[in-house]
Amino acid sequence: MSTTYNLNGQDGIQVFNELPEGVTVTLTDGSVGTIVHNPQNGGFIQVKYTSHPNAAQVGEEEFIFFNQVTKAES
Amino acid sequence: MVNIIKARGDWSIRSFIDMEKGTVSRELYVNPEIFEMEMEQIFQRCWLFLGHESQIPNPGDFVVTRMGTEEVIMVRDRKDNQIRAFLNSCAHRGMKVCRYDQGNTLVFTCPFHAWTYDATGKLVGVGFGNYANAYTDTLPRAEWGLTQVAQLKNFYGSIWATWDKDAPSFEDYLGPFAESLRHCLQSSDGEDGGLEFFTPFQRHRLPTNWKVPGFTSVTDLTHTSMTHRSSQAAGLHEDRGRGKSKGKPFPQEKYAIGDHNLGHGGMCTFYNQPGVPEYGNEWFEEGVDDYFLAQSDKKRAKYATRVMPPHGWGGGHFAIWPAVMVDSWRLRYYHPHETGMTERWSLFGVDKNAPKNVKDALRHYAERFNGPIGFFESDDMENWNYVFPASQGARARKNNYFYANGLGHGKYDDRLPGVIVNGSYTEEAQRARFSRWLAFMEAKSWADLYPINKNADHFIWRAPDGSVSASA
Repeated sequence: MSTTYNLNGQDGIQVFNELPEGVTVTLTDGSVGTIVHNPQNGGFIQVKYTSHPNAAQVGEEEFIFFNQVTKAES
Repeated sequence: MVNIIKARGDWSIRSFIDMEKGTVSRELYVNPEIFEMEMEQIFQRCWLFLGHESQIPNPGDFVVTRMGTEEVIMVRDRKDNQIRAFLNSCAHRGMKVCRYDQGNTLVFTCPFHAWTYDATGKLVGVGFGNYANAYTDTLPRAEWGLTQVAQLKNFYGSIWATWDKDAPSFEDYLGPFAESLRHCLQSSDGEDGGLEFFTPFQRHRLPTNWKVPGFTSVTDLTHTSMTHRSSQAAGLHEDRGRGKSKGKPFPQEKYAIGDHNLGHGGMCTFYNQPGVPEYGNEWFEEGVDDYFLAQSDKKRAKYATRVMPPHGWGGGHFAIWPAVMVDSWRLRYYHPHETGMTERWSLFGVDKNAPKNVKDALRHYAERFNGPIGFFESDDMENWNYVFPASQGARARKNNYFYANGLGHGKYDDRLPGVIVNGSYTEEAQRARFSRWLAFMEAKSWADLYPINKNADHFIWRAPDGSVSASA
């Protein structure tokens, strides 16, 4: 059973802050990745790309700011 | 040259110290301009104590410490397990990137604009960096990481750093005191790096200049007899269990010692033969003496043919220039905040392999002896509270402090080359610290401070007994 996380509204910041590792996120540029670490600072998550417009980026890890995340689901 | 509006005449730094009479102007302790010079000339150059590796045992662990007036993050990296240290100031606009005393983290994110740094200090993220034209082509991230210390040294578990890339190696900085510090970081069975330190550590805020405790408390046997008289009467001194047996006498000598070239010194015991003193039962708590007796036997085997290096013992301490006090069971360091405000941080060590009852006993001892609700430290606070206000007034600051106790009576000793040895109730160590203080305040760079040679001999005081020649 899949779970979609609602990142909008008043509770969105708290939901983002508690996104668990392993959640799949879709980013504004169309990239897709898996959360490898959430430092729970409310700003960033560390994501490992599984899909990226630049294929060389697949497998790379990057810190993603919250406004780049359009969807989170597991 | 310090610019002070007073009719004193010569206001060169050197003029604040009377090398013949052994006195020091109170201006050195109460003048904000001198304090600012000290932060630049001394604390930007020296090796400073950051903490102990046992405070951050796991990948991602960090502790916020200080170097002079500035906060520094000491962090253990998750990938390579290395310890690094950075200024706690965002490269963007200077906000603290870490506002916790300690913890575990992947990154440090500035709450101002979300500039985010990993444990290597690298800038790994900025807020809204994906928006049109935001930071585009104007942010070379490699150049905008956290400010890292120039050199960092893990010395048998203790962590030291300097902002100055030209500072000598930490071992050279320690000189003849390297073995003494190494010894104090050994566990009670003589194993190198065998200590861990209790967390959280103790902090005391002292409304006084950093030099008052930093230059004095490392070797001030006299104050023990007066300031701590009531605590001693109550049996709360260094003995952990008054009235128990003492070990047999061991050939040793106690001196006040000062390294005028390097600034280190204190109240040290010199040992005159290989081995270690016989263990004397001293603990109230059941089983603790049994542990230390067994540890002592192991250490005795290690030192069967070796003489222990001179180190603080039996109430003695020695200081690592400029403001770290070391003895056999604690590391204490003094952080200047303002001209008349200092924080003292105290780390209390224990054998990392000791059983729980031993660790508990030492922790309880540290609390009742040195803790905020303990007896001994509240004694000292009386002095720390009132020296500064009683010295800073327009009239009081015209007077000098007396540092001539034992002046001219010390001698060099082959057991610690370059160090002057004097009677244990003298102020030799304090004078050595002022020798080094003046050297740092006058030096243009480390080239003027190290290596020590004849031309850079900063012994400034009246010569002792013909065995030393002053070169001021």
